[in-house]
Amino acid sequence: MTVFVKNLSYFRSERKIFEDINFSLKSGEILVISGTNGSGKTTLLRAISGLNSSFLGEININQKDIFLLGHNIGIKPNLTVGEDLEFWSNFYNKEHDSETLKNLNIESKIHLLCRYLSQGQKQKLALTRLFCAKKRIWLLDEPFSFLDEETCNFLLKKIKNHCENDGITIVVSHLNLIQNPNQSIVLGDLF
Amino acid sequence: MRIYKLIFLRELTKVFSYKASYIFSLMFYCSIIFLISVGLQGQNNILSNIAPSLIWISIVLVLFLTFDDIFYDDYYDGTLDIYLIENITLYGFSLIKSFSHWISNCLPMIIVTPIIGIFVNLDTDIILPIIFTLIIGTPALSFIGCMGSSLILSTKIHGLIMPIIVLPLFLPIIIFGIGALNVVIFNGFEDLYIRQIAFLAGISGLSVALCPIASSYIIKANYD
Repeated sequence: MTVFVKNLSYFRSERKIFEDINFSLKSGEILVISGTNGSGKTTLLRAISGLNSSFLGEININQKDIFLLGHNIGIKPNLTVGEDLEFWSNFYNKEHDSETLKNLNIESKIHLLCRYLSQGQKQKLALTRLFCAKKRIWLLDEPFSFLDEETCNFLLKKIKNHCENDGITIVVSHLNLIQNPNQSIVLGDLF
Repeated sequence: MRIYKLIFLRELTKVFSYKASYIFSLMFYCSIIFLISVGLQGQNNILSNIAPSLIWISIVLVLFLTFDDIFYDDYYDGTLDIYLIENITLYGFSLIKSFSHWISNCLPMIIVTPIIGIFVNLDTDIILPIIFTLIIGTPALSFIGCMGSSLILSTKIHGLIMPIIVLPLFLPIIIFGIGALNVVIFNGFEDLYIRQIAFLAGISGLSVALCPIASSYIIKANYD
């Protein structure tokens, strides 16, 4: 399993967002994308995920293996945490790991409406989806946002496990929490 | 198919369990009818003659207010991103959204119509034709409205733009819907009624078939 990106460029209204991005990742590797605000990190991730198709260049990735954890994490304020967990579990046809739910301290909030969750708790809920989907390529956009130190460490451990099990992880982050990634890209300031 | 069923059930759960937007639509619908019946008090003949028009136009007015956020939440909260990555077709998604809109907004109004018919002095003989006409015609309103909703998705312009976009497309439905009922009121059941209903069914069928396709292309355009 590989992720291959060649000469990837993206222009919006003739304005360059990024240009000539090249990388190739194989099973077990981590790529960290960093850069200043507005440098196109999220746009790059969305292009890799296939959500944005108006780019120049070549992307070779198996669409079925992708899980994207973006800025907007798809949590419905009017549904309970339990309903959210149940929906995504049925959606991916896989059970949530009770140990993971315990570690993320989600189990105790099953009956709570998602609108009452803090931003960090919402991020944790989105992470349960990431672990439940069991996809081989993780595209994570600022996954450490709003998380406490304990959960950050938990996520780092999960990322490490994922890569040890031949998964690929691409992380967009402005925090240097991932030590010694296999590759890293720093996107420049546009303005 | 399993996933589409799941999404459909989730839509209904969102609407009927907590959001309760259907109750507001219903209350607004009843309020319009009630206000007009108060305004025309003592003129029962006029009221019963214009009742079909009143009911149809009230439903259209209420629906205008419900179209704004049909796709909005899913588009901006990232749900649609997840669906697209998981190869959920935008056609299927639009179909689900339109159908759940009809169930959550039109169906409750159709159900209460016989009750609020009392306010507008509705003849009991006309109740069944009204219900039948609404069941045939309102799917077109929901499906066309959903298409309009997808058009304004990334513009973030809401409110009065929706009626401007969808009103011209609603006109044939309103004309045939009210026309069919007027035929029943003034002439009794006859061939003309059947023909008007057939037109209405045709428009609804076309809307159900084509609007989700149009919506899917419009939503895709918002991504590029």
